[in-house]
Amino acid sequence: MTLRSFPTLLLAGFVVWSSSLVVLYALSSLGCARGWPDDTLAGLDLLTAVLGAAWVAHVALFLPIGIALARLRRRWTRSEFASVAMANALALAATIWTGLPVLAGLSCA
Amino acid sequence: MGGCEGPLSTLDPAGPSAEAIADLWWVMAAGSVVLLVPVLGLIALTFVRPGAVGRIGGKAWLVGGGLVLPGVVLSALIAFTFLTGERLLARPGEPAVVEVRAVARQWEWRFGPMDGPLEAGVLTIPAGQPAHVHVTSEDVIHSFWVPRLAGKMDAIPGQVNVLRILAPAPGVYEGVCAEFCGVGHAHMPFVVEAVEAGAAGGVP
Amino acid sequence: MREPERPSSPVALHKQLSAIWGTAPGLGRLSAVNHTVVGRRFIVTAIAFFGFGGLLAMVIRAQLATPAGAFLGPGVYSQVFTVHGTVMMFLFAIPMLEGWAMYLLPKMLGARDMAFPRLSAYGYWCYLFGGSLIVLSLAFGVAPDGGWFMYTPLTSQPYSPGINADIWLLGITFVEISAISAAVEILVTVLKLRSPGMALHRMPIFGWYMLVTAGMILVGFPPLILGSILLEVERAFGWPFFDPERGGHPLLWQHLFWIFGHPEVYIIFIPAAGLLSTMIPVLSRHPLVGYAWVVGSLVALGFLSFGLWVHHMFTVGIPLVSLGYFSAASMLVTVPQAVQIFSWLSTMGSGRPRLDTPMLYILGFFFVFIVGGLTGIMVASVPFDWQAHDSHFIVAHLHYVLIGGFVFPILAAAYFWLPHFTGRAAIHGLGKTAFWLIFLGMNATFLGMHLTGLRGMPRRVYTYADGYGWTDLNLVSSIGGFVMTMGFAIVAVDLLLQPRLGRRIRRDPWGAETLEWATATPPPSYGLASIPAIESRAPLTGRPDLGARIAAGEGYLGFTRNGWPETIAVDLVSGAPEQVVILPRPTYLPLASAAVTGSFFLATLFKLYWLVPLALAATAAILLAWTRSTGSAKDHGLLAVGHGIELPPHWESDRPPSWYAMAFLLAANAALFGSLVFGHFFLWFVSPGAEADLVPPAGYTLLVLLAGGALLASAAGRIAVGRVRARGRPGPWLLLAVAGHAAAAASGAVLFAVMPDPGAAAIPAVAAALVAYATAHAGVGLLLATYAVRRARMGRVSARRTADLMVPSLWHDYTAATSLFVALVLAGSSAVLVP
Repeated sequence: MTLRSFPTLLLAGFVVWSSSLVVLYALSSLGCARGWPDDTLAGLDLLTAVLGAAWVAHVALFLPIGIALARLRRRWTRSEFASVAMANALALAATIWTGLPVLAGLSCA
Repeated sequence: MGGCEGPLSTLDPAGPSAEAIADLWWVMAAGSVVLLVPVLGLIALTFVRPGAVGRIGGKAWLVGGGLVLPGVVLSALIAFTFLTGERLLARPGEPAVVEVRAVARQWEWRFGPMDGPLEAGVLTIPAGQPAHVHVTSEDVIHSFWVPRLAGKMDAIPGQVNVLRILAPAPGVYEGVCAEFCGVGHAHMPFVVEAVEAGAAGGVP
Repeated sequence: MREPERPSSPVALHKQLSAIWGTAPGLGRLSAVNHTVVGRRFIVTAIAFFGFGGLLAMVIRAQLATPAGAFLGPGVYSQVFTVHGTVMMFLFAIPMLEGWAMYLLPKMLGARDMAFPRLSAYGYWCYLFGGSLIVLSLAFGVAPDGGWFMYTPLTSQPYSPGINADIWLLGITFVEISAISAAVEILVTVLKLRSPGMALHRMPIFGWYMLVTAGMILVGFPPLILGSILLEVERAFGWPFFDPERGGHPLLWQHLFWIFGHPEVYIIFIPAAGLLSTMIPVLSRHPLVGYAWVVGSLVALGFLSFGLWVHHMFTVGIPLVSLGYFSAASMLVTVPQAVQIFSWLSTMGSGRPRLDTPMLYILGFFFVFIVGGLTGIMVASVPFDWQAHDSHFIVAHLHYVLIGGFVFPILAAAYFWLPHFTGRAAIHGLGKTAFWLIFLGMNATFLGMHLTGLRGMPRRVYTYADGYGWTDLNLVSSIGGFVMTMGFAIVAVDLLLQPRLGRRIRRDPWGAETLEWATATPPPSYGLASIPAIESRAPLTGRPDLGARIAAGEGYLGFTRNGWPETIAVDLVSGAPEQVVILPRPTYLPLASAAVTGSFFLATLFKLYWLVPLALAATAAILLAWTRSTGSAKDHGLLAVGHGIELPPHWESDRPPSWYAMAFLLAANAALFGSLVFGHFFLWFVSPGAEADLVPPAGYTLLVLLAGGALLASAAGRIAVGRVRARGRPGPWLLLAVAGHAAAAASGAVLFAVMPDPGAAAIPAVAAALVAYATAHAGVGLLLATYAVRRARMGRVSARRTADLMVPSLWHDYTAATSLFVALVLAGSSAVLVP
């Protein structure tokens, strides 16, 4: 699927955010149940390492969205562009924000 | 604080957990008033002085009130939330902890040591020493709540949840079932009795 | 094709259109499908349910007014608070917003009706019948009594052996048919049935709000429908999805319920906010500030509200790190809300707001909703929620949010649009008196209740003792409740008197911006006599004569043709005109269909299982009967719509509205399937040591046949569409699709019979549910494939008219994808994931 049509781009950012929430939640449940905090990987405990990687991967997905937005800026009316930019900016902020528990290193208890 | 005391009042804390949460409440309550009053003032201003609010510029309000203001407030709140949350958790392996269990069923609570007999209605713990309460249920979902000591923890059949409570001073602290569990829901009271460590009839 | 002759005068046009769009009087009213009529019915019925729910609230407040209240016993009290919550959420709020959407949307968008008028009517009857079932159950003393979120195991068979829980599960599922059908309709109407020239960004802002709401209903309601089905199957047949003793888990219900339940709050609030965003600019005499920002925020709100569900489960023992995500998301949802509120504030601040009755209610909204929002941020903080959860603090919070976020905006809207419904002005004074009683009563009831909760009063207790500091607070709450009720009674009197005693008004008394005020008031059945071209977001601004010009037939379709009810569909983004949609006429089919659907629910409720297959077959048959009058037996070619533009009728277009409807229905279906797959993995995760051999050795062949048959049907369906477009004969391919589904359904049924006993443990139960899902889809696919064959034989299909093949083909594709997924999950779970 290409990032070109207005409806696709309007929703793209928040689809990424939805995925980040589901993936982080699923990995946390799995990791806490399997004792990942007690193992280590690359200097971090395994849980934090895995969650951190998933988080960074989702944030990185905003790069292609940003590029597509920059390319399409001219083709849309100001109002159309503003709403798509707003939705995706909020989605990026949300994706970063929702990962804060990983950064804070919250526990499994 | 006047009007806050009561045998089940979360605002009359008797342990560090409940105290931390009561502090959180007072901070948030004060913050809410600080946020609410200016917004209501702005709304009033739109009628008293038409156009005055708009002179600052529409987008400025959206950026300032919609993005910056909540951004600042929420960042502070989430940091405070995570710190408080971490502090109150029951961590496995915590030293000098008393492990007890709380088993709910329609419609009574029974308490006892991890592998000893259960007794109805009274959970005895040593004062001044943290206790991990292993909460579960034999039938439907109930919830273990001693508001003056700590937040609540659900008693779920097939699952054991652990709640950390600590009563610094000896005394009797009332508890109730907080999750609706059928017609007897209003009649499932219990007490946590904190006794001097080593007192007669005390805990192991 | 030449343009039909235009009527000689506006009156002649009105008469011609009324003859086509009108509903017959007397018993003929039961055949109504018109959006104005059905929308009004939804609103009036929702008001009636609100009155009933309000009476129950008064019963609750009477019981709690004093300690040891002797008015009700615990059994009756449980029924009363459960039905109060259920009625307000499912039978008042959701249908109310559906009613407003139906009444307003087509007129605002410049369409003459919703995209699927018969579906509106069918949804209404399902709502009325299902809702009545729940209300009647209270009269017979067998009402649901497990609380409005019906937590298992309290609502499981051993602890609720009576019919009470079944009434909730089946009654609410019946009502939810209307929510899903309304969502599909609203999506297609907003995306397709707009005036020519109305690009998405020229759409009245209310259209965006309803677009987001409908999308949320589509994804948000299916998890609860699935949960209800699973719980009903557990109660009736003992499949232990939620029973911890047999590998099930009570928390699965809570997840499924709150994945629905949290978005539900926003589904209720967002349309109300849409009404506010429509009214505030008009009452402030200034366009909405930050239209594009509001659109962006709405998208954010729609998604974020799905990421909050676990904040209802902070005390169930989930690891803090997992709670953290939901705590963070719950706080974050404040941002789009703040953008929204400051957009309104800025609009008011930039204009000259006038303090009319609707504005009074809007000001009430601001105060009450902001307070509810602030306490909402508080309970998003995990540690605080550990104390506040399940106490009266939550009761206070949720009433601030729902009364503030829904009731006040709806009352404002009632006073704003009532002149449109009746053509008369409200009786001034009554509405203002009512406002002060409701506003002061509401705050008296619920402000102190925060403290009651913080002082430790749990929710859902029918009695309490003196000495806890709750006594005075409860008495104040009860008095406040009765004051608020008096306010609502005055509103009711106002609503009853105004259509008779109100002063007649001219068109558009507020100087509004949007097209609904371009109709006559009260509106005629067809809404707009002709469809105007749209060049701006506020088509009425600066064009006071627009209404008269529309009535004179100067827009598009200012004439009638073949006695067809016609409206225009556009390209979904640009708003370029695309097709003429010919809508159905009034019919009794929706009523009959809802009655037959009801027989299925009643047969299940009363455990007459022999009747269930018959009821299902009858439902399928009567729904297929809807298609008898759809489509066309010949190609019409392009139709003139006026101003030199010619468009194809919808049955000759590439993507008719029915195609979109099927696509959206399948999206809802996918949400249901996703919930079931989630259930599978959840149970797998929580029951270590689950049995390994889910699929018996012979079962693998059956799984291959199940998925293979569906894939065959999908491929054949697609080829058939291609053949007929290329003017070839689709016959053999259509028959192959029938054969594919038949094979899939048969092998699914055999597999179901040879699988391990679903009553034994949760994992086999959920595996059986997956197989049943795939089999049922092959069964429906068989029906649709047969339908396609029949339509082709009847000559309803041509190179231009392919909808009758395209729509079933979508179903085939979906069935193939899900069947393949089921086969892979089952085979994979058996072979790989064995712990």
